[in-house]
Amino acid sequence: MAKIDKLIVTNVKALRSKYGSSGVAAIGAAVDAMIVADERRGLTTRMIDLASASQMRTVRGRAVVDPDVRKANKDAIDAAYRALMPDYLVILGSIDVVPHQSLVNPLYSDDPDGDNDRHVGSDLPYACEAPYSRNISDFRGPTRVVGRLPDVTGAEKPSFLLRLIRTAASYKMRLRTHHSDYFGLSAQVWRDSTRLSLRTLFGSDKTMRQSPPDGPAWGATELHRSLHFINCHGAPSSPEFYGQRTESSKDRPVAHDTEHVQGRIRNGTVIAAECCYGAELYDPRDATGRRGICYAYLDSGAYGFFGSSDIAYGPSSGNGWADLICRYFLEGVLRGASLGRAVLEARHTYLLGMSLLQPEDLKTLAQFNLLGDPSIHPIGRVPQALELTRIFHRALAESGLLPPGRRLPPGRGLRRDRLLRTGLLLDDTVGSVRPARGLRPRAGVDRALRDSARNAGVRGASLRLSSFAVHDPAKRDLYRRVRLQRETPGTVHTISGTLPPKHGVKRIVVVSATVERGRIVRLRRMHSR
Amino acid sequence: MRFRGRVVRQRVARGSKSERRAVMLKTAHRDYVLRRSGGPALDDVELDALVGHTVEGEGIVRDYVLIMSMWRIVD
Repeated sequence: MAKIDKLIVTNVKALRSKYGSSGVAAIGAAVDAMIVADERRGLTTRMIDLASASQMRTVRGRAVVDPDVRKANKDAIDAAYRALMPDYLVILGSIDVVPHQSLVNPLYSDDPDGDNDRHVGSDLPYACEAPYSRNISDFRGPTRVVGRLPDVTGAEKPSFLLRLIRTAASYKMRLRTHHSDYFGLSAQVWRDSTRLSLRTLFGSDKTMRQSPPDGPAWGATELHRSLHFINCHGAPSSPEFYGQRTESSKDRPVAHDTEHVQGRIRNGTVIAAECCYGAELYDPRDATGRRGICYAYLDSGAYGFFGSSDIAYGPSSGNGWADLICRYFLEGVLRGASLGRAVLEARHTYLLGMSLLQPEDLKTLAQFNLLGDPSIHPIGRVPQALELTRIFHRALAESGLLPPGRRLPPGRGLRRDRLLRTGLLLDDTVGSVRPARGLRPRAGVDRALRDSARNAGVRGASLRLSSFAVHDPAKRDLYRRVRLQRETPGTVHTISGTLPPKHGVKRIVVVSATVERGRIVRLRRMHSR
Repeated sequence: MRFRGRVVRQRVARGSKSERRAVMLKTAHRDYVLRRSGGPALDDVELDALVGHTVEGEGIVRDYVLIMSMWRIVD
């Protein structure tokens, strides 16, 4: 069997229930055209219907009978992936065709004051070798390059999906110089954090816009820039992102919305949005027919949208959590990676900065998903001089890696091998936390937490304590293998509370203590935004 | 679904990028972040007017959000 470079998985039964046989035929024709376009780029692409027993038999898997059953989808995709080992995995369809995996949110609280996302909607498990699980900490080692080409959730006509497939099939790689400017948009309250991200990404923050006072009626000056970095508020089932003046200001003016994006951006735009629910694939009927901003971008020719399915996290100053993973993604795109590899490398970079994943880290890694064809290279890599010679092309053609006449970026196989090794290594070496209801901090740790909270002005009566146990595979396996007796943290305790109201609005402080043999080895304090 | 409950203003999503004082509906079974179909997702002034009242009506639930399609103040 020929090597499959790009695997498209979908559920034809689910598509047929939305669009009927004629809609499915139109989607099939569009995918066929994409396969031809991919072939011209040197990619061998194949589509597998997860609902087809005969097709799934060819990859030694079982067909998905009910599209809503997440385990069946994960098992089927794993079977197809392992049989074909593609370099790119495309999920075709929205969450009512192939669902996000539903992971238990370690930050969930039924207290309205807390994080009310019971589950995290995620495509991360499809990028991991770990088998089906709802435990978010089981997915610490992504190895696969994955993206989703969504249709509109609940739609009855396939026109949106057809446009999206055509955009992906006809994409053009552009030079780095084409992407020299950017559209950076920040809630005013987070401007320092956004400035830091923009300076790191682009070397300058001078064109950053803030809400308030700016938006949402952006002009071509902003919208025609090909890279968009957005750090605003978002809300569930909402076609708007929102600004905020200060931590204490009550107003949340609309900073960006579907109507001002639709049809007004340039083909090829790539977006990283830190906003809560920025990439939520909600049914537009939940918002009186208004689609999410991610849909407006994709419908208008964007190549990729990287955003969150639910509530996201960021620090009070500097960069952390959502700031980091979004920045890492755009850094990869700017380096010339495909959209999917930029996501995988962003996840790896995030993980490589950690020896222990805390609850916010686990949620951040899982909640950011790529909407777009992962094989698209928005920006061309600058080739080395040797790669432009006949010697190079002849040598690779003789080894079968570069068919004559193809200008495929070389080295993808070696890169995938490196990414596979890195993902597996991370799975073996990065620890994570799990809620432990029976666990309590020792007196000294408890005192440090409470003192740190009071030092920030928190009243003792409002303090709430949570405890987590550390699951550390390195300690269990690696250190034992080399006969190391190295202590590592065993527990994490957090305490949170509210500051006295300022202008009628409470402010929240969270302190976390990482504990090793009863002693604190890291103490962090986070302020709410 | 049909609902009946007390409308309050309460802090939600503590410590996240969504942290805010939201309008909530407290029913006999559970609490919801309240939204108005077609209304803004954040800071809807029409919902502010319901705070402190008991309301009943119809709407759809999306996770922890109740999107009201019709409602009336009962006290």
